[in-house]
Amino acid sequence: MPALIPEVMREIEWLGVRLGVPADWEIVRHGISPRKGSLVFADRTRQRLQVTWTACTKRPDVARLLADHRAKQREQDPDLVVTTPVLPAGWRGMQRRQDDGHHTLTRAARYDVKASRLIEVVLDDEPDSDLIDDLLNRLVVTGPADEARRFCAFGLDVTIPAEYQLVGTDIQPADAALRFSSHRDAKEPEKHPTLTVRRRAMADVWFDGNLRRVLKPYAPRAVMNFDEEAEAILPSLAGGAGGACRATAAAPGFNADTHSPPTPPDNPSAYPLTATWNVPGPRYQRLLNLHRVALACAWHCPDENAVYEVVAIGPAKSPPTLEQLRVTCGQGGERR
Amino acid sequence: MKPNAVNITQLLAAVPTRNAAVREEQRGEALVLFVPIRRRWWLRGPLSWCLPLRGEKGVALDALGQEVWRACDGQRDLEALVEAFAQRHRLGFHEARLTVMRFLRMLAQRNLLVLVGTSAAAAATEEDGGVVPKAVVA
Repeated sequence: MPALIPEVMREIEWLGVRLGVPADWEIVRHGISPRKGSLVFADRTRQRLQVTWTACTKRPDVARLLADHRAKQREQDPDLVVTTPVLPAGWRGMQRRQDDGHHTLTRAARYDVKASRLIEVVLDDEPDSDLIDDLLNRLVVTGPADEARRFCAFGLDVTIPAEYQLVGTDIQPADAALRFSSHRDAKEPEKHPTLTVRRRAMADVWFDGNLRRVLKPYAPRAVMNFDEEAEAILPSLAGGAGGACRATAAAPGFNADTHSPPTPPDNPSAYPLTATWNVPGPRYQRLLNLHRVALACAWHCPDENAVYEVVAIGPAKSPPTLEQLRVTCGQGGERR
Repeated sequence: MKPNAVNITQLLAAVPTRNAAVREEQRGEALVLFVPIRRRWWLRGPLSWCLPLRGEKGVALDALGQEVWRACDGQRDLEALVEAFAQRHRLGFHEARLTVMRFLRMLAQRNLLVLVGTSAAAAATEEDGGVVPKAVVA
């Protein structure tokens, strides 16, 4: 009997590749290079899925790639039985039984002409499972990796402005941060506008409701100007549709979409606090208006038990904005 | 692979079991666990009559530490414990496992508990950071 497809799938989008994976799979390794990299997923006990992307200027011979791989495996084990499964949506692949006999390893590849990217998928699954078909059907290449705007992984769901690119990540248990810059290959990335989106989980343990204390470590010595307006409009938001941490009014153009249930109006931390400050630097920079300024926003998402922090840093001549940035919270990234 | 290494399935099936000799004392918000110290032979004799040697060592746990410590009831395996922790704090299973394992490792190093499993191997734990319960030697 074919194994059932997990009912709840989680949507992941990373560097222009969107896919759906079972909700209990988590990313254990990730790449940030748009040229070549991979996402590795594991369930509780073992690695299950690896999705690899490679930027190719010319169309690669996918059949040849797979044939080479098959030959290589046969070289190592002449008795290995490798089959060619029928895969959906233009995917080509090969399948073999694992040594323990309880698992099947499926390798599939496809070249996306529009984005000029080769996508390879390696799935470790139970025999006769329909998961590979479901997974490949859901996998979509949204565009070239360096033009990726949406990043949905590690509990974060962020859509960045077009001029930004992913330049770094800091993924710790219960603490994930994505760093974007307007210049990926610049020698001194700190001179260019940067954007950091951070999600800190387990707020019930460490967060005391004071968002100022959350933002202060970003510039311990700088004088921060906090914007209380977001708190002032609290009553009008509390009863609104969507409720909770809707941060639209926090900064012009910034949209923190949420699906949290309405929060009692006595929980001000569910509403965003914004702050601006001058990034410390040599005094002459300040006099010549060459210094950098920062704009930050933080809010508590009670539904996710997490605190979100967004920090944009840019030159004072053209101060950073949070326009076109969209952070979605409160839905846990799950969908049916 | 190290001869004593355990795989992840064995590790998750292991049962965190408290040291029966541990004495608990609530001091304000902190829970202090006292574990007896085994003295060396030369400290047991007349020297111990003269010197004020302490007989036990205290470890104070914060609220998060107490939550994990109380969950270690000797019945539930590590997987169930991590699952409950993840659900309570709305974490993923892996991040909860890293957090809980790091804390259990600290407790095991202080002889407060052991992981009882099918293998006699020592539990392999991860070195990753994160929000972990605090255990402070009192």
